[in-house]
Parts: sequence; structure tokens; C-alpha cells
Amino acid sequence: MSPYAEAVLLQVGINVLLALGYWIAVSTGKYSFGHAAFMAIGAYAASMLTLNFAWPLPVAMLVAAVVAAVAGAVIGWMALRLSLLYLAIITFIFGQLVELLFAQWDYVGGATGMIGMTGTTLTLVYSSIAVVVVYLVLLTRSRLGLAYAAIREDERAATASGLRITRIAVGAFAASAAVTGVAGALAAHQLMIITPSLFGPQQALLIILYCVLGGVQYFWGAAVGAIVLSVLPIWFEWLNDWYMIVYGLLFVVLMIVRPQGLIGRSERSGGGPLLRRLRRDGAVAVEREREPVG
Amino acid sequence: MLGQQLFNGVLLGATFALVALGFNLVVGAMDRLNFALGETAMVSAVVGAVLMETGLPFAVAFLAAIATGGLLAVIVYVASFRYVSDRFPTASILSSLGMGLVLTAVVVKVFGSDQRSVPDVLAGVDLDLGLFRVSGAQLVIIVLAALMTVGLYVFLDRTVWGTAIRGVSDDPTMVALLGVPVQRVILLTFTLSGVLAGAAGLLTGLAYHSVSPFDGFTSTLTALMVIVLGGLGSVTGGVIAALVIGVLQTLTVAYLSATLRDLIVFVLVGIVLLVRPQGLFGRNAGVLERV
Repeated sequence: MSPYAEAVLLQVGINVLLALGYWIAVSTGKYSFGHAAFMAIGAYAASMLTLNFAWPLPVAMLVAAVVAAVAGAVIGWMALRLSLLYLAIITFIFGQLVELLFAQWDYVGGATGMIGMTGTTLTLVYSSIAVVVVYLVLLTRSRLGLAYAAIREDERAATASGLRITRIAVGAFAASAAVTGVAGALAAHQLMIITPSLFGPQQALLIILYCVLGGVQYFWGAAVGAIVLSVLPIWFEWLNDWYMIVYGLLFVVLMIVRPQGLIGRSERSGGGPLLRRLRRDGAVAVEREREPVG
Repeated sequence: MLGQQLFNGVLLGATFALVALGFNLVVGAMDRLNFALGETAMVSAVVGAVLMETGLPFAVAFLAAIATGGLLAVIVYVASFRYVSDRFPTASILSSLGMGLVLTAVVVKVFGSDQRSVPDVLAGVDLDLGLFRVSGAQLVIIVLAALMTVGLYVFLDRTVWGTAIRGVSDDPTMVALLGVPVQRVILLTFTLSGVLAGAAGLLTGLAYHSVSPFDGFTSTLTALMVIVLGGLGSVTGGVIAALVIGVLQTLTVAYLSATLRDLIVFVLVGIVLLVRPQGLFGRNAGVLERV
């Protein structure tokens, strides 16, 4: 395989991992706006271990997952008790806080970052994806997966059914952060150089866009979104120059036309307002017909 | 020395307050956050700075900046709020973040990514008030920021349209039944928030003598911390929290260390979120519902 093809496959694989990780949080209906921070935490934790302590990368990846999961649990615990608006604000601020902390921490190179990490291979990336996919397949078929869906669809009904929604959502958030941390570790050891600004708001938005473009209903939708958005700039070179504008507008158009993403039934997510009204009126008509006469 | 630092802090806080007020107005109107408001402020500041460089008086540049802010806010409203289904609470946030990206990218494409210097105003003025000195630019900033904040209070409190805005913020269904044109009130709210952001952008640029295309993000971040501290949707809380953060940042830079400036605010916001998530001043029912 040519080095170029390998680089592309590595990049696509890491992005798929990011999208899958983000999807875990989104499957409970909780959108984070600072997921790049977990990526940074994973990247820095793993790089510290491989560079300064000569740990093997797979072990460092596991540590990265644990550290990111702990950070995810703490942030989740702070934010998920509150409303979605607060979740958005807190994760957004958290992303900036992490970037700032790494930029001021001399041990990890401050704003100039760390350099010299290597070792990300196709085997490592794609076996991580395989592990996550197996986990997600089991998750979506388990009671826990059902609980995630219940929380996403209707929090009050889920609470009434006896689900401890905050605890479950925090768990999902931590798992999501762990996968994102692993992706960060892999990205760091592929890029060879990391700086705090690499994991800034643009990266955070990119992760969201991977997931939202594909559709939040099925996890493979998120993976498809990541693949499409990673490959497009390779095919269309001009996109590199314009991608901020194109991706920004993509968000705007997507949210108006299909906020649930390209893949997924519109029925469950409500469809357009008109469609919903038609359906509701239809349902009412059917009920009237069923009413007993006399 | 302390007097001067306190004054500088209040000055900084006054510009924070304007953007935070813009955020809170939109939260009141739609229970949504307009994440493009920081970029709106940045674009207005760039427009104002460009006009001032061509030699136009500050008053013209200021009017152009607030007009730009209002116009952009309306564009963002149409693109990211008007036609986005309210079944997806985060859709508008994502969409407005996207608009923010676009605004930054367009400014970089048109004006370049370099910092742009903002010319001084009233350069000859230097008031000595005993405890602290006020330069011409500082005088302009504090007077305009105070005027706009007080103006907003009077508008919300005394006028029909202001009452309508408060009504929509309390219960949109109810005021719609009473015959208030809710959509137009929301549009007005967005315009007002853009005007405030536009003014804040140019005044902040004036305070730092420079404006960069990447300032939008910082403004959004500061405004978010202000509204967490003051209580989401609380107008008075936002103003007080903005002044607190402004003074805190200035004092930290003056007496501790510049690197701690943002960290201290983060810690403060974190403590408030843990102990009193409704914000220091969020006592009104509307805010409690939003926590």
C-alpha cells in the first residue's frame, strides 16, 4: 500500500472513531460542544506516556481512554443535571478551558505542543474501530441501549419509567469521552506533533458535523458521515480553501432540511411540521371512526 | 492604582455586559442560544475599524457597526432559527455555530487574517478624577455602554414593544393569544441583540486598539461565562456578572499574573455551576425553569 493511501485510511479511520464516540453521547440526546477537549486529553495523556516513559502505544491508549472517561464523567455530572442549554454552555466552556490549560502547562510544551510521537498503524486504528463497533452493536441491543433511546425520545417518560436518567447519561458521556480520547491518542501518534490549538472549536464542530450529517439514529450513520466528510476534501482540492464556509453552510442547510441527519427515518424524529400535522389529523380521524356509535 | 484598576475592570465589564445582554435577550425570546453573536460583534468591529481608517468620524463608524450587528443578527435569525424545527433543541445552536464559522471565514477571506488596528478617538482628552484617569477612548466606551444598557432597561420596562418582548419571554403562547405578533417581537429581539453585540464589538476593539477575525470566539466564550454567572436569561444578573468578571480579570492581571486571568474566571464559573446552577442572581421563575 502506498504511504499516501495509508495516510488517508488512517485519517478516515480516526475520524470514524471520533464520530462513533460522539454518537454514544448523542444517542442519549445530549449534544456536547466541546468533544475536541476529550480528544486533546487523550492525545496528551498518551503522548506523555509514550514520549516520557516509553510506554507502548496500546497501553497508553487504554490510559488515555480512562483519563478521558474520568474527565467526561466529571463534566457530565456537572452539566447533565441541568438543561440542554447549560450542557451546551458548559461543554463549550470546557473545550476552551482544556485548550487553555494545555497551552499554559510547560511540561507538555505549552503552546508549541509536543513532538515526535509515532506508532499509529492501520491495525491499531481499525481494531479500535472493531472494538467500538462490537460494543455499539451489543449496546443498541441491550436494555442500556433502550434506556439511551428512551432518554433521547422523552426524558420525563424515561424518568417516570424508573430510569435514573442523570446517572445513565453520565455513563454514556464517559464512554463517549473514552472513545474520543482513544481517537485523540491515535491522532497524536499519527500527526507526530500536537498543539493545544489543534483541538480547538473547529475540531469540536467537525466531530459534531461527522455525526450529525450521517444521522444520529444509527451509529453506522455517524460512521458514514465521517467517511464522506473525510474523503470529500481529498477529492475536491478546492474545498481545502473553502471548507470553513462550506461546512458552516452545511450545518445551516442540514439543520433546516434534515436536523436528524441524512440517514434515519423521519417518522420517529417527527418529520417536518406539516407532515407531523397531517399525521396527527389522520390519527384523530381514525380515532373518531372507531368511536362507538350511540 | 487600585482605583484605576477598578475603573479599567468596570470598563471591560461594561463591554462584556453588552454581548451578554444580547445573548440573554435571545434566550428570553426563544429559549435558544445564538452562538453566532460573538462573530456578529467581531464583524461589526471590523466594519467600524475599516470605516474609521478611511477617515470617517467615530460616530459614523459606530452607527455603521450597530447597523451591521442588527442586520447580521436578522440574517442569523432567518438562517438558524426561523426555519429550524423546535423539536430539535440543539439544532439552532449547531446552525448558529455554523453561521459563526462562515462569518469568521468570510472576514478572513475579505480582510485577511491579520489583526487590524482601531484608531484612537478623542485622543487629546485625559480626565484626572483623583482616584483614576480617564482617556478619551475610555470615556467614549463607558458613556456609550452605559447609555445602551440604560436605554435597553427603559425600552424593556416602559415601551409597548419592550413589554411585548418581556411577555414573549415569559409565555409566548399566552401573549400570542392576547394578540401580540410573536414572530415580529422575536425579530425585534434578535435585531436588538445584534445592535448590542455590534456596539460591544467596536467598543472592545476601541479598548484594545485592535480587532482580529478570531475575536468572535472569545466574545462568545466570555458572554457565556457571564450568563452562567448571572443566571441564564436574567438581564440584571447579566450586567452585574459582567462587571464582576471584568473587575476580577483586571485585578488578576494587575496583582497576580496574566496567565491566571481566564483560569480564575473558569474556576468561579465552575463553583457557581456546582453550588448555584441557576446563577448568582437568577431568582425569577423564568430562569429557574431553564436550569
